[in-house]
Amino acid sequence: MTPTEARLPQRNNLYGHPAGVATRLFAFFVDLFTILLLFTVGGHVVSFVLSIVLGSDVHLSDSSLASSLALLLWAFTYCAYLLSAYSCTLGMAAFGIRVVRLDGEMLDTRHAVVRVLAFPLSFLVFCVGFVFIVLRRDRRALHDVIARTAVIYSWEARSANLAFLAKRAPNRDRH
Amino acid sequence: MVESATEIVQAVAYEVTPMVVGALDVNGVVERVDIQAIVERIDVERVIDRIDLQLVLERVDLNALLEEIDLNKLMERLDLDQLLARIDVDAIIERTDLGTIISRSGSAVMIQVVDGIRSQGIGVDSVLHGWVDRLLRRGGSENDGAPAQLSPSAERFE
Repeated sequence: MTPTEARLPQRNNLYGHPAGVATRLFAFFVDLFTILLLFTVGGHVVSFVLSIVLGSDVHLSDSSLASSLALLLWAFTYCAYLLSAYSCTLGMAAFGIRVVRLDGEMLDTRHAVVRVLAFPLSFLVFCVGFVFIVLRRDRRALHDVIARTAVIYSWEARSANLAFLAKRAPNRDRH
Repeated sequence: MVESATEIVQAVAYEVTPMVVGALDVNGVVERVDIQAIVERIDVERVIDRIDLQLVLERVDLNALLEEIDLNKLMERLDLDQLLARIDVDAIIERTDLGTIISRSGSAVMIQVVDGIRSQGIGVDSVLHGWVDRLLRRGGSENDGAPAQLSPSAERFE
């Protein structure tokens, strides 16, 4: 046992293991909901404020192109900021997963931005980029491969539900 | 001679004592006694110190005592409304850190809920990836492809 490993608490769970496709999908849906909810609420607030300032009714949704661009910009900001600052989005935090660099370090702004920009590529050709998660042993999607990142479980299973998973972990003594 | 004198005195005492006692006004005597002064002169703490409470308790058959108590009758006698009216509930609540207790129990419930949801997610992950592993005829995929540095470095996120 190396000094580094000696300092680590003994873990009998999936902490630090690559996250699976279902957890990542659930986290994605939470993020999608959050982005749309905040965008809708924010849009109404901005419309209301502009209506008061300009003295006439302003509906941002009237311009679909501007709305779409604003939504894309907002989604990019939401993901890139949270990933670079906390290595996870709200959905990821809810489901106990994080994005890390291949060397195990937290994401920096560059990695976060590259990952967010590469994310839409995973949707191309019948979402083949996401199939990577299932097919690859390290469970990295296309955008993870491009950004040189990985998604891991970042919580300790306190529930007895995970006992069967902990038993299956092959090298759990390392954690 | 002394014995006969003693007998005479005793005989006289037997005869006289009931007459003297009968003539005495006991209530009057008691009234004239300052009981309060006597009580004040008694060193109660010293008396209590002399009592071996352990010995007393050992002699008391508490089970028998409790069996004799009619709790229903006792409860009937209790005026609970009056008792509760005397309790300053606000003061008790102020002394107990109710806010902290509620927030702690709330946090515990939230942690349980979040853990439960996460566990479900991991359970589905395990099933899905298990199927794929079997389909691709490869061994368990837990951590197989994870960079070795991930787990130790992930420690920093705690």
